Amino acid sequence: MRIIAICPSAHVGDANHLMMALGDSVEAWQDTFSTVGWQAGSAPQSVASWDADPAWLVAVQSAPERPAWDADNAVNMAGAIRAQALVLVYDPASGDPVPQASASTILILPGEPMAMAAAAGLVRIEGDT
Amino acid sequence: MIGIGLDITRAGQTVSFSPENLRRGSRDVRDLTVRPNRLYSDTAGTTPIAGPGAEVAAMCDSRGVRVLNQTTASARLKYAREPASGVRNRANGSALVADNAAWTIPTVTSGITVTKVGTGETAGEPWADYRVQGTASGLYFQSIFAPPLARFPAVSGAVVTSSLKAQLVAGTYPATLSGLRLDTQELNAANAILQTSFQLLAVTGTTTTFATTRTFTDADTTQAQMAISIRVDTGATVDFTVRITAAQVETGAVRTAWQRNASEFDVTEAGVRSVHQLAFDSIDDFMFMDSNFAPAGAYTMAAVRTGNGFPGGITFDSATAGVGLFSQSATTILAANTISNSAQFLPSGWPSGAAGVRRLDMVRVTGAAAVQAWRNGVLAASGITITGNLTPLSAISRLGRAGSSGRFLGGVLIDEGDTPLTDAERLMTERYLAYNGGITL
Repeated sequence: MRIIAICPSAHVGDANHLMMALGDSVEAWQDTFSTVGWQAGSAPQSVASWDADPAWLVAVQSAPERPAWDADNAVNMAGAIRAQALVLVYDPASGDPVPQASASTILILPGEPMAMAAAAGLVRIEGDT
Repeated sequence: MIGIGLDITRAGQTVSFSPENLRRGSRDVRDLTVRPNRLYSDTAGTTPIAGPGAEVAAMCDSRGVRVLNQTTASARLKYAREPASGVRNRANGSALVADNAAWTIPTVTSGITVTKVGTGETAGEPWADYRVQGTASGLYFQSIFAPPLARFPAVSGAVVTSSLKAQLVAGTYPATLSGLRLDTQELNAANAILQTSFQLLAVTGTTTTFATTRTFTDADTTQAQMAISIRVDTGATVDFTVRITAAQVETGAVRTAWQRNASEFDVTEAGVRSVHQLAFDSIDDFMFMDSNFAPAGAYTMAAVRTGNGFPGGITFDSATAGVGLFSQSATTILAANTISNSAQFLPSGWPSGAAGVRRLDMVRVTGAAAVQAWRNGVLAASGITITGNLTPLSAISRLGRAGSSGRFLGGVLIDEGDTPLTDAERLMTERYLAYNGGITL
C-alpha cells in the first residue's frame, strides 16, 4: 500500500528514529525524512513515500520497542517513542476528511502520494535554480 | 560495421552499440542504461530485483560496475516496463484476474450474490468468470472491477473507449434490464461521476467484443474511468455465469490491440518490445551516483525522460541542489554552476516536453559558451539562452532529486577528456538512447 508520511521539520530527528525502530536496519531508514521544500501553513515539513505493509500501519500506531537487530542501541528509543506519540494514521475508508498537516502531527496517509499531499494542505516551496 | 571505429551492427531491430564503445583515451563514460538485469534490491548489487514494481537499491552498468545506488528505503525508484509503442490500456491490474483487489467480489445485497467462480488465461488473454444468482429485492448494481484502477487524466473533448470480451458460460442470460454493464465515465477532480455512456451487454455463448466509446463534454471533467458492473433489475430472478476477458480502457474511438496491464509498472503487449524504466514517486525518490561526474572541459549529457515542471523534470543534480543540473521539461536546462552559468533551450517546434511524453534530450558542451542541444534528434536552432560559463561542470552526483516526477528510460554522461566525441559517436549514442527509450528520431 502506497503511503505518504508527513513530518514537521522540528520532529525529523525523532521521526527518523521511529522509522528505524519499525524498519530492518539503520542504513535503510535513518534518512527517511530528509526532504526539504514542503510547507503546511507556516510549518515546514519533510515528506517521504513508500510501499508500506498493512502490518507496518498497525505497528506505527503503538509504542515502538527496540528491534531485535539493534544490539548496538543505534536507535534512540526515547526519540522514537516521542515521535510515535505524534503519529496520526488516516483511514481512507473512514469517510473522514483528510487530516491537515501541522507543526505537531506526523501524518501517515495511504493513497496516491501527490494527491494526498495536496489534500493534507502541503505545498512545495522549493524554487528554481 | 560503420567506419568510425565503433563496433556497430544491426540485426533486425537490435542495435549492439553500447556506451562502452565510447571509452577512448581519458574519456569518462557513465552508462546509465536501464535494464532489469542491471537492477538490484540491495545496495551491494548482489540480489536482482524481483520484477516490475520492485524498488531499486542499486544499478550497475554493462560491466557489472555499480553506477547508481540508494540506501534509504523510502527514496528508491521502482522498476517499470511498458511497450515501446506506449501504454494504451489504462486499466491498471486488469490482467490480474485472480487478484480480488482488482477484480472484486461484491458484497451480497438486495438478494443477489455475485461470486468469482474461476479465473484463467486463454490464448494469452486472462479471464474471470462471475456467477450472478438470486432474486433482486431492489435494484442491484455493483462494480466487479475496482473503478479507481481504471481511472486516468482526461478533459472535455477527449474520446475514450472502454472494452472487453464477454461470453455466457453457464445459466441463462437475462433478457432485459439485467446483466453485465460497461461504462465510460467522466469524473471531476473529486472522483464524482459527471457523465457516462454505457451499455448493458448482450452477452451470448459466443465470445464477443464489446466497446463503449464516449466523447467527453463536461467542462469540469478531469478524469476518465471505465466501470464494469453487474446490474439486476428489481424483482428479476437470475442465475448465470459470464466470462470477462481482456478488459481495456484507452484514449480513442476504437478498441486497439489488447495490452496486458498488470500494474502501472508492468504493461506489455504481444509482438511489441518493452522499454525499461525507473519510476520516480514525485516525493522523495532519487539515486546517488557512485562517483561524481565533474568534467573540466568538453562533455555530453543525454537522457530519455517523462515527467515535467520543476523540480519534476530534473534528471541529474548535484549534492547542493541546482549547482550542477540537467533538467528536461518544456525547457531543457543545463546548469554548469547554478543558473548564473547555464544554458536553456526552448526552441519553437521542438518535440513536446509535456507530462507523460517520452523525450530524448542531449546537450553537448565543447567550450565555455559553446553548446548544442537536441531533442529527439532535432537540433535547437533558436530559443537558446546562455549565461556565464558552461565549463567546468560542477559535480553531478544524483539521478533526479526529491520531487522529480515521471520516469527515466536511460542516459549517458560523457566527460570527453582528451578525446573529443565525434559526430558519428554522438549520433550513435543518440540512436542508442532513442531505441532504448522507444523514441523515433
